[in-house]
Amino acid sequence: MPIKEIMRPIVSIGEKATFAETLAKMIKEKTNSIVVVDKQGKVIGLVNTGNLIRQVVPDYIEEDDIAAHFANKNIFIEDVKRARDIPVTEFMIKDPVTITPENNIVEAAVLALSNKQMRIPVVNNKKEPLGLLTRTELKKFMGEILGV
Amino acid sequence: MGTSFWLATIIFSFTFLLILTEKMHRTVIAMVGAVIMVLAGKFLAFYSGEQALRAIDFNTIGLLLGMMIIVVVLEKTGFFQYLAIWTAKKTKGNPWLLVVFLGTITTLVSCILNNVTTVILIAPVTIIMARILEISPLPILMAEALLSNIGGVATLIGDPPNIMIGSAAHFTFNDFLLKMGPVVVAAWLATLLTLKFVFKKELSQKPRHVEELLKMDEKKALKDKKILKKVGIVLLLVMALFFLQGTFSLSPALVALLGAALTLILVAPQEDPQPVLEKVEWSVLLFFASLFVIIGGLEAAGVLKEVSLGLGHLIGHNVIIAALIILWISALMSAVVDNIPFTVAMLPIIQYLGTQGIPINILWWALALGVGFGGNGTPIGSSSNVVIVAKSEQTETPINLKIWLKAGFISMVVTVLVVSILLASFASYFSAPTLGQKQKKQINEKALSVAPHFLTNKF
Repeated sequence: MPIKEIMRPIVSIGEKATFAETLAKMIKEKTNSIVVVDKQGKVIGLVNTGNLIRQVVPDYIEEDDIAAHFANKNIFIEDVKRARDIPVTEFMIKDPVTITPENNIVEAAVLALSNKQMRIPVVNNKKEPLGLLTRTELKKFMGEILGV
Repeated sequence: MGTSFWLATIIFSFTFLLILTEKMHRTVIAMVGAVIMVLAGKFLAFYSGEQALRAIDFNTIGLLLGMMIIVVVLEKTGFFQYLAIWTAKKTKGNPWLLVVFLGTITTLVSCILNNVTTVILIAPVTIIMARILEISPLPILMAEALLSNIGGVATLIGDPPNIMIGSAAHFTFNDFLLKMGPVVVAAWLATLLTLKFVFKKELSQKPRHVEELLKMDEKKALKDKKILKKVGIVLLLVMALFFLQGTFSLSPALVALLGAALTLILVAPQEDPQPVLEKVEWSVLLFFASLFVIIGGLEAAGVLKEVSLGLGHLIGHNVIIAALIILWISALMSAVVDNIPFTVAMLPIIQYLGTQGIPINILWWALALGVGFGGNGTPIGSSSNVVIVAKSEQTETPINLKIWLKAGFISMVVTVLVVSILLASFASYFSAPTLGQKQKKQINEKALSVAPHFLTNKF
């Protein structure tokens, strides 16, 4: 089964977008991943919801889960407001691993297994986004094989 | 002065200069330098492999390793965060009291544990509490950085230079407490007063939401009370043995390694200790061992003897002046470069001065105080400073060079001035043989009369 048939549609955003704009588009499109494209439409980055959260939570809290227990809602609200205008290029995953529709499904499965990047943009030869492959697609595909 | 003399000098200078530029990692450079020194020594027949091995002070390495293992287990228990919150609640949110209380806790903890671990654990809760109170975390964070370095000077195990100095001079845990304790108290006070003056504006802020601070339940920080209890008992035992070190003639390394072994057996005897051991700073240990090997080569080539003969000539009988020079040079050096290579190089030089009949104890203490307090001078003066600056970067008031110079550099100058006055005024107190040295001498004499010499070796 070619990757093209199982991948899901992908949402993209320009490299000039801010934190608030990226968040807004991800909420509107109901997606947890968005690719960042340059002027030519080439994929230069990937933002997952996790990247948004990491941008908001300061390192000194992220690195100390015991301290995090004592941070309250007001601190989180303050940090979210502070992140509003940060450019997307600052918190995206730069040059994410991508696959092309010609890659085989086992390769995609191996990539999805690696903890570094579980959501993989599918691109054409010009690096323009075509779709997104996540573990959900692989799960569905495995289900199809077994007919469950 | 033959080829080996100059070759050893060149290898040493080149390695140490490269370490100071921080272009490459210090451990890598030191290891390369050590290997080259031993190779040169082998071919020119001035320094053998066995000599290199003997040059490594395994008392320092063992003590550090033991304490590191205990700390790795202890830091996960949440005890420091518990202590920080418990202390902070007593201040009812008063900014100045927060500086004093949290600063003092940092001083006390870093007397026993390494300074970096202390600030890594205490800084995040500090920032969170300051944000809840809507006050600036700046003065408190500065106090924690500066006082972690100051607290480390008070004990034999507080800071690596002390471990090395104690090992070379045969100072015990109690010797450090007796001689350095009062000086550290004076420096602690001087630092706090300097901070109060420098951060007058920040400290006059009115805390808000004090009830939120008081509502915090510090007990929630204690992640693993069972482990805490066990490590706590081990730490108390280790401290007790350090106090009795002279009586039992136990080397500090043995005490720390005993604590580490007990920690591992009490906490998880069936599990592979690999995850704990992975967190031990092997890079630091290798760095220290490499430095010892390099300095050993320099010593074997006769360089250090020449240097100290020259120095001895300069000093004459003016030990107080010599102590003050060592104090200020080591303070200024430690403010800009890593204080460990400097300390390691100074060890044999001071030892040689001792063989020339100069009362060197005051020089040892001057060195310990200089390298310890000097680190406060710049944001890169010590690893705790680097950690605190990094943690402050995401707050409203990142600590920049200007802020540091205003608070840290001034504190450094004030404390070193205070130390200068104390050293000069109580020179005979600091020059006198310590209790540990007297006990060591007695034991040595006793042992020499009944036992072969290997029993009296230090490790």
